[in-house]
Amino acid sequence: MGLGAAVGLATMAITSTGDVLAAGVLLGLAAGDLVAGTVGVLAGIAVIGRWGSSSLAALAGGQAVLGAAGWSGPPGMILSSWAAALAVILVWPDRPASSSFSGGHPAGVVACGIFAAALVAGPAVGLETNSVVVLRMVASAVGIGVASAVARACPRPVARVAGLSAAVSAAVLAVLA
Amino acid sequence: MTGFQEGALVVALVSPAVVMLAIGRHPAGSRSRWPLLRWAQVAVVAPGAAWLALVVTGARGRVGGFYVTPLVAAAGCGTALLTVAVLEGMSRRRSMSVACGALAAVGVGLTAGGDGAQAVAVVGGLALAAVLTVEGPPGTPRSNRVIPALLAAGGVAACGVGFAAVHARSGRWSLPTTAPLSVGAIMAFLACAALLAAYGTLRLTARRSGTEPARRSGTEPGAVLLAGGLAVGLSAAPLRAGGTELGAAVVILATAAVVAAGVRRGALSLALLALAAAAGPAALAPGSRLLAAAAVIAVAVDVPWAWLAAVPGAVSLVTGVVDDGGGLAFAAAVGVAAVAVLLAHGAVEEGRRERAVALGALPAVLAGAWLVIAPGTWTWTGASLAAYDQGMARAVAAALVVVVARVLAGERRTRPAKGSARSPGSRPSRPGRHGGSPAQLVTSGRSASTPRPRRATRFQRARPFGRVPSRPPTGAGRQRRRRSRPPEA
Repeated sequence: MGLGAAVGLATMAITSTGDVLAAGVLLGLAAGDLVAGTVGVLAGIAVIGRWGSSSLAALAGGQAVLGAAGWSGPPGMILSSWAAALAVILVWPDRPASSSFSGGHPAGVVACGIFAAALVAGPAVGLETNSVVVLRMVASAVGIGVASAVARACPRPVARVAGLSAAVSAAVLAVLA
Repeated sequence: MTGFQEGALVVALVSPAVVMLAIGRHPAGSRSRWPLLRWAQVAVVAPGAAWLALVVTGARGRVGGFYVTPLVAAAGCGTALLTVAVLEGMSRRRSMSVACGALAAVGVGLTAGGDGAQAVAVVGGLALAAVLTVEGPPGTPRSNRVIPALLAAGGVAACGVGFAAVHARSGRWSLPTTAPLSVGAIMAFLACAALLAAYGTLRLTARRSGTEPARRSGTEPGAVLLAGGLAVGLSAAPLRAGGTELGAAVVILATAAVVAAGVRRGALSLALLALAAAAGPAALAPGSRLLAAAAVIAVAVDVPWAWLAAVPGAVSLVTGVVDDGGGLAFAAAVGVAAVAVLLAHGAVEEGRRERAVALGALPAVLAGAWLVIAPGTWTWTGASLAAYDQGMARAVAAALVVVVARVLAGERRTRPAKGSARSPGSRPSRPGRHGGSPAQLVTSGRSASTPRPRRATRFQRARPFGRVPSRPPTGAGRQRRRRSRPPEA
């Protein structure tokens, strides 16, 4: 189930289709970790608070029109988007979880990085196809790299607490800002 | 209503009674109950399919003295799913007849009257179903029947009080389709639904405490009333005058849902959360119906990961909270979040003790998969989840392709060369269905065409397949092993 959830999450993030809350649940299933699922859902709430919709298509479309979430818009909203992306990256476990969901599959770090990239630099592919595709590819590569590095380097308890804190901050900033 | 819908309603109402009578007339001297059980389950699928046809076609109208709406048809379909699951754990003809009788009683009770839910029909149908199912499985001590009986009686009584309140206000003994109800009547119907939900999910706790054999299904006969009870509550809750707030009901039901989730009563928490959402703002109504459907599926499937069926309902509720933005909606959202965290935590803990899905739960599993993948097609809920449907369909398709490819690649790697002995690790594990571990299957001689050496038997016992715990063979297995063991030199 962990591999399936990771593939599903990556598919939703790449195609910018689906519901961001469902993507958060898939993150939890892919990681096999309750904290990861909670962080994913809180990141989804941050998206809803900023863009007014839980649709990943609306997130991508909004970024295509108004600019990437990571550097366009009010400062509070920009901070919220980066906090949500950071939270998603931080909670990925460094080894498979022992739950019955068989989570923590190594392929999930790829899905994790792609999802985090979609939160800050995931505009929909429209008229400016080439530049948008390059932007999304670069952002996804950076996200995967950072997720892998954090999973290896950062102690898991510290990463989980930091990730949860970042996710709560992202949700609060998006709702209040 | 079209001719097809009328025919489907007739099949849905009549076939459970036919099945009940046929089971009762089954010869008592049959050597094996297995064909009767599976025949009964297949027969109950027929009314379930008829109710499903009514839901899919959006049937609404009268057929003679019976009245159907999409919500009532969905409740009938859910009741049929629960009945199929309930039959799984039965071995006696009388028990099977009782379950089918309860299905018939609920179906007739919800539809009889011709002009909306009629008091006599609804109360009588629920009461009859409760009387039929309160006895419990054979051998249930009388002391264990007290609380279920009180819950069932309380639910039926609350339903009666609700109809009395409707009569006091309107002079009619039926639920109106559009006219508002008094707050007292709505609260009574919500109490009826909550008590019947508690009755329908109560015995699962006793089952998990280890008082029942591990082979039997976890779905008790009382679960047959769950869908009908929820339908009564979900039908009545929206019938309130504009501007009327049911804040107390929302808070009480949401709190009860959180408490139920905390004590690992996942299906009950989903049902109570659905009722809390139904009592909240109108924007939460689609989410409440999706959660009610998830509660029915969770009871029928009875495995830790069944809570995933609640994801669409939770997503719809959050969307409704965003649309409404009021305090009551926020309270419901807090309840949703708390229940979700507690259910997920409980599922992770319980998931370490994996249980196989019973064959009788297969229709519910299929319904659950449909609910998780495409909840927007459940038009009777009124949910608008087009974005969710699109993304989840693509995600599931991609996941299936990758997982199937990986499984095939893994099988190709572990398959032994032709002519060599089959390695123990290559056998797929099927825990629980044949009443023993794969090691017992091998040592019992049931599947081996040639006697296996004792060395291989000890190796298989030391390396159980999957998560099936190794157990010493039962008496029957021990006798078979003694007969098949070659004489020692």
